[in-house]
Amino acid sequence: MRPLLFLVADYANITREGKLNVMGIFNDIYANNFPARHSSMHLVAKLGAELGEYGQTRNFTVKLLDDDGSQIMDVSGQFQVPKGERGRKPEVNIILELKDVVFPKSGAYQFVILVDKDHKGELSLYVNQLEASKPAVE
Amino acid sequence: MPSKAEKLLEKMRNSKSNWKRADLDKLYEGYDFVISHGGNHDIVKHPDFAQLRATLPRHRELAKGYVEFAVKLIDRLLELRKESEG
Repeated sequence: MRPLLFLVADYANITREGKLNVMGIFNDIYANNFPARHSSMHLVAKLGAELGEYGQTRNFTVKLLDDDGSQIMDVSGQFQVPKGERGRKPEVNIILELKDVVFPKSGAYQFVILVDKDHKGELSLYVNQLEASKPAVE
Repeated sequence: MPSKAEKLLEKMRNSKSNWKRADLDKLYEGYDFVISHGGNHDIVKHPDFAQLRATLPRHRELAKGYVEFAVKLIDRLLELRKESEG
């Protein structure tokens, strides 16, 4: 399987017709205080499969690591590779809603996606400290 | 004359399988990346281009996806270096 898309957004879904909707793609989060809780975000991965992979079950894991390489969270699941329509290579969409993720400190975080323990992609998410507003000086 | 890192990059570009973690360390360090040993994973960063980052597992044997990602990351580094020169 090869990675076609890996991003984080405010919202994503898949329509009845199989279209992937993604709204509000971002790479930065801003917080006043730490640890900072982010109420909801959607992690979206689109993976391309080879025709011969049809029907096979794959295990995936998404990990979130902080700037020091410590794991903040991980989510695992399974999917079945669909049949490629009209001779096209099949594609798999994975959408994970991540609720109340806690970022202990500001810095660069890294989402990593693995399929059957093989690395398929990485995505940086920058968590920034909002600067306190300075008092007006006359 | 190509450096050791350039030769290694070409070999990895041609074949992504059967590489060891030590080979990937040599590749990254040959292109001036810094590898820090983190909590659960090791982190690869480039001192001049903060957006170039990767994670590395601590296994001796490497899945080929890590090699594919390293090749892409170094290709991006070479593009950025060219842009900053030019």
